[in-house]
Amino acid sequence: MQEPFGGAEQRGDAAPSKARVLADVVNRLLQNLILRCAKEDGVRDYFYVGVIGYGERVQPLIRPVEEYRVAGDLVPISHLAERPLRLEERLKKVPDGQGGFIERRVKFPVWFDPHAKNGTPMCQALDLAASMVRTWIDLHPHSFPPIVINITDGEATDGDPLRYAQQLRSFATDDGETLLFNVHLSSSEEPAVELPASVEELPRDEYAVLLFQMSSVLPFTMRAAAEQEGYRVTMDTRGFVFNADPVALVRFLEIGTRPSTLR
Amino acid sequence: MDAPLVRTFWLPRAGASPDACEDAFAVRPGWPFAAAVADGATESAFAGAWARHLVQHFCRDLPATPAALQDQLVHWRAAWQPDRLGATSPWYVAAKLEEGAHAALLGLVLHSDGTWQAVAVGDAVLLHLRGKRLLQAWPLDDPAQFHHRPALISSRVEAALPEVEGWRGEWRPGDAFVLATDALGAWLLATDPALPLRLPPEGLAAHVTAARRRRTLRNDDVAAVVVHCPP
Repeated sequence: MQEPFGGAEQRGDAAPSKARVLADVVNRLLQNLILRCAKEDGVRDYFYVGVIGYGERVQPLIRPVEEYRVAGDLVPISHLAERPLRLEERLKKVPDGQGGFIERRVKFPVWFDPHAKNGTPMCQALDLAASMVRTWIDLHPHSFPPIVINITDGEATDGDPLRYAQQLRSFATDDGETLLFNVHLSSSEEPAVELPASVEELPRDEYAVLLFQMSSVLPFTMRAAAEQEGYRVTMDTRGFVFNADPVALVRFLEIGTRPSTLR
Repeated sequence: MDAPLVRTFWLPRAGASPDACEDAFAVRPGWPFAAAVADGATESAFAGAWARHLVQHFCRDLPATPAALQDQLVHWRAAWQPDRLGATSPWYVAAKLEEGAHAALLGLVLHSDGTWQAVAVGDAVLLHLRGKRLLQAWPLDDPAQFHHRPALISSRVEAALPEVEGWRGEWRPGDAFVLATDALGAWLLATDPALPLRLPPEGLAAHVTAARRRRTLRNDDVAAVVVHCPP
């Protein structure tokens, strides 16, 4: 996650919209991932999760307690579920059963607030992600490969991130190479693009092209899930999202039977 | 006429405790005879309880046509009372309750006049066997048709009613039916649909465990009802 996304440290309306969008995207990704693992009696640890912030510094933003230190700065997802920074009340539109919608108050967990921007050291961030991924793979060589979701406004300020992306993706478990998905939150007015298969589908934006090239091709199981949700996918479809909701990227992870009403 | 003989079978996924099993079955002995299996969705909370709610209500109310099942679902949803939320419930339990519980359901009704009816939402399968030969499988008949996003019945009162599939036919003395939830159904279709007729539950459990180890059977909860029609 690119930590510094706007230009102010205030929360609420005073914060720049991009910083708020970024924090919102990360909070919603974590919320969705947790809800996919949640049952009536707790959250199943189907995933271990870490978050790297990059801006003024490049650092893990989730501090594992001593017992998880061995997992390389990753925590079981239940640990995260129990410890949001706070719960906010938000209004959510839900179907009323008569074809319309009603607003209902729901609790929205917040783990991260918007922060100020100061540089975009994406190469360093990918490098740190690679070292965390290597530690994880050493401990879990037979697991589904790690997934890294890089959320950014596009322009690295510390070099060419493609090389670092290739290195990160080269670390593999028995089940495949590390997956790198990129989420490009651009300030341009270009229309949203989800899961493109070629450069031709992208807007004319050099950073979008670079982030597309850095992104992994969707593995078979995720491609099948995307297809069942109505996305047009090919063997070349990549885990890249431009100015669009990236929650689909965690929806495509196969855990077990998934109600279609929750798509 | 004698009533059908029944054998039931269930096994939680490897590594899970028996009370975490989210597949369910129920049987109504006598005539009309009924049996049902349901498969609670992994990604729903209260899915096992919802699956049990569905099979028990099916065997009580016997809605043997798609229209009858849709009518009954309205009442079954209204009667559904998952654990009430305590004030200290974590945020994710509240969110999961809001989403509702989800399950696939397959129900079979046998009549003493030699006819049968079945209804299904989702991917639990009904195998109709004669002399250990598979006559028909329904609603899926190919292991490749199973996937992670089947049609499911939602517990939410305001959710749209699911599309229900219906089937009917005739049974002959000595016929057998197997109702199986998805992982087991797909595996039986790929291997030997008559296997549950030959084996006692513990024998079938040993085969399922071995197939899971070989990864030819997906590690998922399984439930089955084997029905032997009277000779």
